[in-house]
Amino acid sequence: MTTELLAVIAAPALAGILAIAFRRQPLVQVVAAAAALLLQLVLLTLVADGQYSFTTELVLRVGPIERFFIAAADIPIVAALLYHARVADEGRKFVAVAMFTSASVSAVALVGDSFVAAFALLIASVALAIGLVDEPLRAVETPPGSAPLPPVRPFAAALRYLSLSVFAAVALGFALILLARYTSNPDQGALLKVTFAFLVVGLALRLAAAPFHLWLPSLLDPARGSGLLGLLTVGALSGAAILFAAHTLLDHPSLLLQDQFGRTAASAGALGSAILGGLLALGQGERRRRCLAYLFISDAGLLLFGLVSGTASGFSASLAAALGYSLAAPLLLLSFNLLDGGSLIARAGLLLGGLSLVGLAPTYGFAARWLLFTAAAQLGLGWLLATLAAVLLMLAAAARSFVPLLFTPTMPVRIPSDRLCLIIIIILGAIIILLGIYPAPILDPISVWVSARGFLP
Amino acid sequence: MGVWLPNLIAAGLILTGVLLVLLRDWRLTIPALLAQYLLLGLLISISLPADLRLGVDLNSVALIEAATGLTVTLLFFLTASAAVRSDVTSQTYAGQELDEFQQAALRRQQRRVTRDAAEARANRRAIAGEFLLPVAALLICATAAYSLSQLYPLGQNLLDDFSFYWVVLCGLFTLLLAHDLIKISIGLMTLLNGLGLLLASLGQRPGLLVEGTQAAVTIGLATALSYLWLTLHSRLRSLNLDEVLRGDD
Repeated sequence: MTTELLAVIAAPALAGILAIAFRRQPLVQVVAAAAALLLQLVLLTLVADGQYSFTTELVLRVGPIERFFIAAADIPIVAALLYHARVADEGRKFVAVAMFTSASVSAVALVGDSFVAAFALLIASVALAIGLVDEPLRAVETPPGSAPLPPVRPFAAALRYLSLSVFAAVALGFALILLARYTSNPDQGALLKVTFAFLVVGLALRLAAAPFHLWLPSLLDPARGSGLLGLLTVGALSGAAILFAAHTLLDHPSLLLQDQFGRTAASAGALGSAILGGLLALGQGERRRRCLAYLFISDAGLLLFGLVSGTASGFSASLAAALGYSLAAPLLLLSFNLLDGGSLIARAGLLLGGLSLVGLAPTYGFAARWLLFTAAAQLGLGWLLATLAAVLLMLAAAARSFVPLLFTPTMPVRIPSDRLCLIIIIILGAIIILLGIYPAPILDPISVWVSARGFLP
Repeated sequence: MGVWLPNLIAAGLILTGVLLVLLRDWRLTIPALLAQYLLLGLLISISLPADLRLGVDLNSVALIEAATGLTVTLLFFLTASAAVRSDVTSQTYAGQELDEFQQAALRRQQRRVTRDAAEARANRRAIAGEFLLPVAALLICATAAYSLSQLYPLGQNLLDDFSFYWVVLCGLFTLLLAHDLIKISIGLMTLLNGLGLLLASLGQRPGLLVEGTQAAVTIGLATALSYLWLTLHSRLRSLNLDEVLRGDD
């Protein structure tokens, strides 16, 4: 069984290497990638739940949550691959980045050692940074009439993202080293505080919660990065970061239970970050891609709040929201890019993606958000009001920037309309509504997994 | 082994930190980074018991650290040399041929970069305080590292704690004061060295899996950064950060 689980990680990594080797043959790239993802999902289904030791150090674990996260991360990757299959010049290292991201998410989910998981996230960041600077010329906007300059701005996005990813890896690494020290000698209360601080900073950097968010607007800005590569980042890697945090916090209850002040400070900081993100999104107006980026930043604050709130509902909310992220991110970006044609489907996709991201009924986002409200109410009225304020700010920002688009067919980025993209939008939209109406298949296993640890109220 | 060796290593780490923050020439900073890696390997080898018997007693973690350092610095050195030697103007981008208008735009951009760099050099010579900011940063580093090692002692002794805080803070300030991509890359590698130093100062032995993963990721990161240098240099004939961040808000 260990070999099968290792293959779950190795198959997309191998497909990534093949994608680099066959960089001028998009068909080979996409076929290899599709085969790797299919193999990954089949192997995941075949392996029984449990822990498997490959060596004394390499322990792999698999259960419903791990399967759920790998599948959730594959959603934006598959959506983007299908898109790439039709618009092959969108970025020739794109498939490789997608595959390395998938391998990293699988490693985070399956490998028992948190330190290895933290570094697996960094591997995906390195691949993404390389993919960013290898974008084709037409990804760069230039003034009308002038010759397109070689793109320098993506370097800024790549450099910013790479630097902050290293910061995140170092912060998480410090946290894990200090945590191991604390576990062997639990008398050092001060050490626990420092550990928790490093962990929260590392997670905030990974999730792009304010004020550690600088890389995200750059990634989603077409003049600096690429919306599609950014999509992979916000969709797949954020989910992996949430799973990493859930494993670390649930495996070490003392982090949440013994440092009351740290937990309160981190919760307040996370909600402050969500409110700040909402305010920044509200200020963007016509700059819609930036608005979208700040909405993701605000959502990252809420995800972080769920994780550090120290309640079972908050934990479940953040874990459930990872799937919402994976569904809403590709739906929003694909719909946004296809508004040019005035397509009704694209408008509906934009509306549904926006509602799910903000957390309104009847979308899946509402189910996750409801759990978060429950967690905030458990902590007190002030926390609930702050959470509501953050969500209302997100709603106001989304309404200000995107509602005009639903009525007037304006066009921020020109990407050829494609029937396949419309089909992806329909599928993603249908999943969001179905899971919004009946979220039990997702929420129940998550609640069972969190409650099984027993220490969270 | 007396107390002189840990003291000597700490002094070496302080010196390499000073060189990394203060200097701009990659011919000096990259060897300083290599020295930092080797000192780190030495520190690990005296902090953790030997676990390899190859004629002499060796420590696998220290060996991996030293090998990683050699690989990273060799990669950086070769890439920087290639970038400086290279006088070929890139005529392709991401595999796409540039047309003559695009190449003309590229040449204009490169001329501007060369002109700006010459002006910047002239200005820097005129300013006596070129080293003022790095020296101030080093003073802050020293004060902060000493205060932190007193306030938050993590390891087994004050010297180890000071070395750890010093190296991490030097990495941060190298990044903050960086003017080019090479300095940024060196700052990132120094920050990653902080992980090894923390392990050494706590006397914890990481597993081979952890150490191997960290080494592989570090080398992968160094390769990616080298690729960024080459790609940017082939376009701008410069690795100056001002050019990278120009117009980026």
